Amino acid sequence: MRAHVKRGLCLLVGLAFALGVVLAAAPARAEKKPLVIGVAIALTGKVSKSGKLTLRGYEMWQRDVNAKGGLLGRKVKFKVYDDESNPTTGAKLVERLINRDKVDMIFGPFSSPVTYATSTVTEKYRYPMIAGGSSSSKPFSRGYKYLFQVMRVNNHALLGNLSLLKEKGAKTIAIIHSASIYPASLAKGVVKLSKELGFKVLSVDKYPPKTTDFTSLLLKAKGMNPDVLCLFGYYPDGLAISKQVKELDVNPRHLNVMLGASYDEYGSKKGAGQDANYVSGYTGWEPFMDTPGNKEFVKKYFDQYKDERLMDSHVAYGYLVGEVMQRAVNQVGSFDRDKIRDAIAAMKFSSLMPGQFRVDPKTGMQLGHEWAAFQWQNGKKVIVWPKNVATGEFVYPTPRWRERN
Amino acid sequence: MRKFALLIAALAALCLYPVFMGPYFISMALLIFMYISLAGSWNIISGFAGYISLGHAVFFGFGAYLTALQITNWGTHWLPASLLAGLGASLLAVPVGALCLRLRGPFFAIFMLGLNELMAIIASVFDEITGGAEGISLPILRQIIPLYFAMGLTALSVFLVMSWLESSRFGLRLLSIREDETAADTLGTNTTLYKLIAFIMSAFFPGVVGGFYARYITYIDPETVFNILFSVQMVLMCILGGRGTAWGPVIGATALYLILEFTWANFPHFHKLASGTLIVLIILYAPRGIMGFIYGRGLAQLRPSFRN
Amino acid sequence: MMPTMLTQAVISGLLMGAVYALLALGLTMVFGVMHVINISHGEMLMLGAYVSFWLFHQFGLSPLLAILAAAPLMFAVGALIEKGIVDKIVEDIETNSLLVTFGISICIVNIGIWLWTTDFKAIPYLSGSWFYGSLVFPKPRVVAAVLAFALTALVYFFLKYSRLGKAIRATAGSHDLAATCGIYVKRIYFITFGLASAMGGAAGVLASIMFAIYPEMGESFLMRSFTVIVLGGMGHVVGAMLGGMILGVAEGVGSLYLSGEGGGAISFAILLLILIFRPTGLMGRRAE
Repeated sequence: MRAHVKRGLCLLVGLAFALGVVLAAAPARAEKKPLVIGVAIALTGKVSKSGKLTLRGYEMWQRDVNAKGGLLGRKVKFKVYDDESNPTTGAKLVERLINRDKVDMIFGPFSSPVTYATSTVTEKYRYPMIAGGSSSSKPFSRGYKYLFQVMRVNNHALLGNLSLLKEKGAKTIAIIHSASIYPASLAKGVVKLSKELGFKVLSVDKYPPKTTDFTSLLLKAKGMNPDVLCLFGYYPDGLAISKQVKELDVNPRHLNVMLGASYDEYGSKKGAGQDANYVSGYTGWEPFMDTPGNKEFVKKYFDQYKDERLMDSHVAYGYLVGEVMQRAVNQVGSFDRDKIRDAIAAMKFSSLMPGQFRVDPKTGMQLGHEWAAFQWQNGKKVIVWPKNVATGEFVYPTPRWRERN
Repeated sequence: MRKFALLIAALAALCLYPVFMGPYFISMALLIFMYISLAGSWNIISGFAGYISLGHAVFFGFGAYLTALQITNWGTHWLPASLLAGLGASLLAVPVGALCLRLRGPFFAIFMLGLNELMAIIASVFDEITGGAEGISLPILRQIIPLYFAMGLTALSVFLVMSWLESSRFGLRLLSIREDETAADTLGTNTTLYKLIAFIMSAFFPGVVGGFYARYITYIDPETVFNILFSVQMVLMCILGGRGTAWGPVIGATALYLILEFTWANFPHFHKLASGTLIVLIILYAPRGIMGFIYGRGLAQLRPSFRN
Repeated sequence: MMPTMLTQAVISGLLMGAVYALLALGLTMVFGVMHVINISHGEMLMLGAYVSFWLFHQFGLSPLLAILAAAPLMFAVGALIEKGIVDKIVEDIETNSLLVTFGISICIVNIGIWLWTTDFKAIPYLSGSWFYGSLVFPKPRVVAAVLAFALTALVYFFLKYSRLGKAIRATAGSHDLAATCGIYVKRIYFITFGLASAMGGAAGVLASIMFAIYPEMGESFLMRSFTVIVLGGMGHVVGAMLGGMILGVAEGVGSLYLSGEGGGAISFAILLLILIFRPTGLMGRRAE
């Protein structure tokens, strides 16, 4: 019995010694410690689709930068956690990334609520965070110094759509939106724009985020008979409500579905199929847009993710987050987070998006990127505004359901 | 006497803990205190009085919102704000309890499940007051040690309340309700009143720690604070430790939190699945929890509150 | 409020109510016979919906036929849960069965999330509507309601006239007397739980053609079926049918006036009012 214990002890001591040797030798052999970037992003939950695509953008950038020898000679590594689309989980995980995993940098999460929550942590520890997944103004209205936006604020996002509708003679608007941060801010933006452009807003109704039955809301909208019906929410509710618009035979002259219609899946058989036609929305980026480097970027994406035909603007936004960080680090020449922060605040360059990357140095809010308007036509997204990048004509009014197919 | 000395030593160690530990471990202890308070509060109404609440997170969320609103609107300090929030949660418990505790068994359980959902909807829809689904963001918190002590003291208070219930007349009355309410009623116990008092007590502490939690996490939204996961964990931690005992929730919360802490970040969904499975397994095979083993081996003096 | 709109809301409510009734019937049967409130009943609906989704996308099978697969399958799932878990604690105090079915519910939901993620799924089966003047009858809802009503009636006649149905009712009346009459009570438990789950599964198939399918969809349905059975009286079969219709119409009409956000609270408000003023339900007897 005792011999066993002794032998066990010897073994343990030996192992510990060996481990010590390896640990001591390790730093001497490795060229440079990899740069670890912490990411807590939605891999599950209601915005997981966009979260995963944003992460793919990060990974594409990672491959590109590592192929060229890394950032200032350090290979880039990600430490990824799943925030379950939940703001508090996100905040907890970022705290963990900074305090326990001791990462060097933080990349932003997806969705405005999660950005809102996690930025309180990054601000506290002075980690610059470039948020690739928030187009709301709210996270950027608290005077935070270390938070930057990539997407343009959505207040004016529907300017193109509304201008076109005005041209075609639409006069009234009804809005139904999910009581979530992004749809609510979109609705507010439309109300404001309507005043400027001379539309009459008949009603603004909201529903709790988990709603699946929209009958009563749509019946009310039907009773008001608006020219334009705007449905703002995330993809699942956007799809569900679009289906019910047809079922209840609600016939606005034009239907705008955001964020729902902006996904390629919306126009596919799994989504609304043929019923997607005539629906409009806005977009910050599309694979077929003619911006510098875009074609190569899209090709690279499809080379890497062959099995997946999924691709939308979030990949590009994710990639851009990496690109901004890379530019800032190279400019500063070190990983000093305060200097990186200042560099990002003053940065200006043309990216994959229309317009250019430029933030308000005080609030970190995006000022340079531009929104475009699209409409689903014959199962394809067609850019209809602004005129200089348009790939088709805006069709108005939408035929009534009973006259279709 | 020796026991008492041990207790003092443990308390002293907990007081010195934040001095020697980094922020990550302080946070961990702080959250363990929080779960002890929550599991203990659940124990009062469900463990002692036998009325299973499946939506106890409602008081936690309510407290979190009351606190956050006081801080953002009036600049109140978090400590008085949280205590007030506890009172607010107790006030909410009065009508809820008065209505539902008259009804036996499952009515109450499902009612609480639904109440939690309803409060989440209310919080997300009345956005002029609550900030809606956007939630409320509080100023950045630079110092968490005061919160550590606040949580710790709350956990201690909950523990003391439970110890009192184990041996007091009031506690015995709750037990009689749990074991046979009709009989207790017939024998002249004002069951409705006692249940109501227990329910109010079990609402107060979640309200308070909800406030602390809001301050700690600096951002709250309806989905987070009215999360059913909180309710599940209260149930699980309490039955894991042992229902109707003072030490049960303390042991259950600490053990489960530590297990989860080292697994959840890597298996985010696994821990919910595991929580559900554990609840089933515990009820089937060890309905008396860890304390059941301790009493079963004669390691501690058996209390009357413990169900045999 | 225009009369057409009101009529439309009543129609939508009745159509919806039929599905509520089918789901609630299972819940109320289990309670009546076993004195167990099955918190995981909503998950039977969710599983039924996924069966329907899977059959549709793998084999292009119409959801109407999917009921024939989903109901027996869910009977098996329910029966397994009863035999393996619930049976062990059915004689215990009520709190244990509550906690156990709560645990089962959490398990099933999270297995669902693990297998299928939280993405919303939909079945593009039947879209559009039938029209009658200015009134609209959404095809998926009409089909679902008719089927739900047929299944509910089937179960009703089964309970009323078949030998097994009579045995189930006898057990609900008194376990001891039923046992004395030679009814094997444990077997009745097993069958009741399975049957209730099958009804939940069938309701799930019907829900799958109307609504988005996702692992957490069961909870809101559970809450509604609970309101339904409290309305109709716990353990009361006809009461559940009536309760379903009342809830459906109340929700349909109520949310017209309360706007979208109020809609979710209606079911809850009804539950509250019934609990306060008539805790035995509309059809229930006075004694508890």
